[in-house]
Amino acid sequence: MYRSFPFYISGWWDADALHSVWGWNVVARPTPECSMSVLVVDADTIQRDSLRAILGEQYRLTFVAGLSEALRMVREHRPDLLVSEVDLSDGTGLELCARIRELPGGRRLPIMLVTHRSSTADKVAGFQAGADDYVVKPVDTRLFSVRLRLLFRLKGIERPRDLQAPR
Amino acid sequence: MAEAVPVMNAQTADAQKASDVQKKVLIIDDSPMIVELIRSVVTMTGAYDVVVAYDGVAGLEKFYQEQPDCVIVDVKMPRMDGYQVVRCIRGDTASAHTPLIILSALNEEVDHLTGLLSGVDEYLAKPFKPSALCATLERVMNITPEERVHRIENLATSDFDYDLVVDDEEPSK
Repeated sequence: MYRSFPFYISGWWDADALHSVWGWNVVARPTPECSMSVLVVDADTIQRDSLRAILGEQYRLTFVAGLSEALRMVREHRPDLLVSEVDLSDGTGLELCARIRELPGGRRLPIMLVTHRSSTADKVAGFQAGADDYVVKPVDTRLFSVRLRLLFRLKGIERPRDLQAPR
Repeated sequence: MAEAVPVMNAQTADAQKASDVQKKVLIIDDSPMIVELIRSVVTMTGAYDVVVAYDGVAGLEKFYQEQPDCVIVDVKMPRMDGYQVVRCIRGDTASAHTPLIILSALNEEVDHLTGLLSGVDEYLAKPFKPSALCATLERVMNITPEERVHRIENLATSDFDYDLVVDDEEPSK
């Protein structure tokens, strides 16, 4: 019926709210990237600087060092994207993924793990923990911001049934 | 200042030609029947060697062991799906420019788009024609890294029809 309902939905939590109000599965539309907020979880200042250089002009970046701080930021500020290292000061990126996925609406947050760990086992563990993308450092400076945008779009078209299915 | 000029005698030229001819293709699909079907199509031309894996994780392990020149991957597989395999391969600069084809029974627009946004070069739907697979294989093998980067950049910036999907099925709780 209302397949082309002209709604503009700006982020993953809004989509969830509508979901409950209308009883429909509504998928978020990508917001313009200049207004997109990215939470970066990495304790290493050199890595932070390099990410700031790559992404700083296109995204609103917030940096935190550890898991608990990241969880608090996700709960309180609802970033549009999350980029996390696997080795964190007070836990792992995998743990962070799993904890976020348990939050209400947390399945909709696009999560990218960016790490030096490049073994197949690490990559598989990343996806199994609930990450949407896994990038090995050093990152390709030209493609990294593009990849983030692709991930955001990808998450926007992901079917709600896939999001609800247990991983 | 004398520059080193590569010397190519008949023997090395032959060796290079042989390695050009025998490219390696990795097939990842959980159905042994489909794997054999793809294998028969791919090897028909005599231009490719084939290695196979039967789920996403085994596929990734095979990928890093065998360093294939091209990967043909299914989407719905146990342990890890095809989209994740594609993102894994593209996410590592060491393997980011491997030609990748998804060959899947999922044939809705959203499936194609998910594949392309994950970074696959071509999305082919099952059932497929052998000639279409051969042509696709040929095409992806000829994509240069520069072309691939352009395609990815275009995908990230272009508008597509999936701004909003309203699915009026009841959400399964």
